[in-house]
Amino acid sequence: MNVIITRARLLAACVFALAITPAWSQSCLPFGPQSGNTITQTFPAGGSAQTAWRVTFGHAPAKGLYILGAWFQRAPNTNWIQVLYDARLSNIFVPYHPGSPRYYDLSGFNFDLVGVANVDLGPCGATADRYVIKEIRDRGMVWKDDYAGRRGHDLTLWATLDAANYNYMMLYSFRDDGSIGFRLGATARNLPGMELVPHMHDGLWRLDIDLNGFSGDTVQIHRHSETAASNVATDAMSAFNGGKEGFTDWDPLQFTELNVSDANMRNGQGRRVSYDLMVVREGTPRHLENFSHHDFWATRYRFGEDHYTQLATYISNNESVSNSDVVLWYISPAHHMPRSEDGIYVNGFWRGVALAMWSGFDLRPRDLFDGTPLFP
Amino acid sequence: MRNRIIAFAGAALSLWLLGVGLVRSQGTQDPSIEASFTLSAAESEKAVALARREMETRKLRLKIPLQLVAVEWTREKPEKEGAPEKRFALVTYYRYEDDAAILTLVEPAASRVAKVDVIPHLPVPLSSEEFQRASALALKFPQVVEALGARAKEVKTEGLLLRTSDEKDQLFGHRVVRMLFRVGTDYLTRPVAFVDLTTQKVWIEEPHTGHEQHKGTE
Repeated sequence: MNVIITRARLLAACVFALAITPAWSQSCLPFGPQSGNTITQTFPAGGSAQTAWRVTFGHAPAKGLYILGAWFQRAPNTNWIQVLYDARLSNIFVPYHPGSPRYYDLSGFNFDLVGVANVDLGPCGATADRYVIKEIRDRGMVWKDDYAGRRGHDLTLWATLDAANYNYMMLYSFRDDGSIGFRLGATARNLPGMELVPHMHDGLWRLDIDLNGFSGDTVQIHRHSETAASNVATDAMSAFNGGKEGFTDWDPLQFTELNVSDANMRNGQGRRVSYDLMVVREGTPRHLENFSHHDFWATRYRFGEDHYTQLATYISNNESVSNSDVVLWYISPAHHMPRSEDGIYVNGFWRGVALAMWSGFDLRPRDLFDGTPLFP
Repeated sequence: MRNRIIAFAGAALSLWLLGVGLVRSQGTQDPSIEASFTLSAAESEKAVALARREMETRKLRLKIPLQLVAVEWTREKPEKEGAPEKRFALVTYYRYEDDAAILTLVEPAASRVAKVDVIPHLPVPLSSEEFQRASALALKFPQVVEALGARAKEVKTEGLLLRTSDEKDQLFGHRVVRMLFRVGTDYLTRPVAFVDLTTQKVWIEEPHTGHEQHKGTE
């Protein structure tokens, strides 16, 4: 009898093991080491290292999840190159179309992050700490050449801010090709009593880029120029606001990008190493508040200059953003026009959630590598 | 013999499951991770004391008491690359009299105040004390009591701090909290209640349909 029971238990265990194996054992990519709040991840994950990221994160109430430093390694046994000193959402601005209310969802209360839930981890995620999820993601094909190709990986860190009825997912993806994705996902319950009122969720980002260290960084603007009257197009890179602190706007016809280069670092082809700020957006918000009158701002780093709403003050002394220590600021909008899928009224309650709407931008390396990365 | 085989297989399966479990749980919930980017209680206490003393010295306290709204860790870039970073505390007070934030950067280890900024109309967090005050005012306001009815006992309140940049708006420069009423995971659509902490006034408004903001053919 005992043998039968033992066999039954063994069979049940086997069935359970087989059931869970495909989900979170065989297909999951392995994590690199974590020391405190610093994670080191080589790519390809689980393979012979070609590139690597070292990332330090932090978080706080009224701040959410932020990055306290990011360094990239172009090849094994080469120097770590600093890319970020600090990257975060300075605030999240939510103006409703009637003019009121206008909320600052990051600083409006001491909103804290939500602890990691099982659903956050999915099949392959793990906790970086009690609030932060880390994932190694297969990010699909990074290049194809007939039958040849390469699937890319990234290290993604994310967390969820509980802003009363609303939630915000803050997500940073450090990719194997040296690029970084910054995303803000707005979700959860529409504002009680105004469930059907359109509004905007503006991510107000602050990026302290320290390429190859604090000093020697220069901000430029990349603009494309082409008209329907000609078959010739041109591209030009020019100094940001004449090399001084200021602002500029995103123009979809110009494919506007900001570029930050380092004076002291060149690749094997002798070109200056730099990063492009590339937008991911569906439109351009303009509100009464003056910080929203422009899409990009650049300032010189000054201790304590952390508030997006104070940008007009920060740029007023016209400090240099050329061969300097620079900070970029960018507004990433998500326009929320409520729909049936957001929820429904039931007995005086609003039942349902707005599905996540994402906004953000990417940082992409330019002339960091000597040739195509992740290529045989 | 059969029993031995079953026992061996069971042991092997257990070890395998344990191994998979380790892969799964290689993340951490260790709260000590946060020490490097969080102030200790002693650092916070010292920072607040230094900030208060500095504000007294600079005569930044006006008639109405200040409200401490946040004490948070921050850092300054070292003068030389690679030098150790100094830990700072940013102490934020809200001054009701003129809707101003007083931001004091304190280096607790050196007992030093590095910088004080007074910024008018800066959106700064609502403190727990202020939220409790707003919640208490709202929950005893007759129209809120009437609207909540029997649900008053089961509602949990939450608050959103309202801001306006329009100087012509009668709420400009006021500390106004929009109260939310939650039962379980769902929010009541009414009452739409507001508390002006600057004037201690409470009022309710009708829910907004949103139709006029979303015009189009049906």
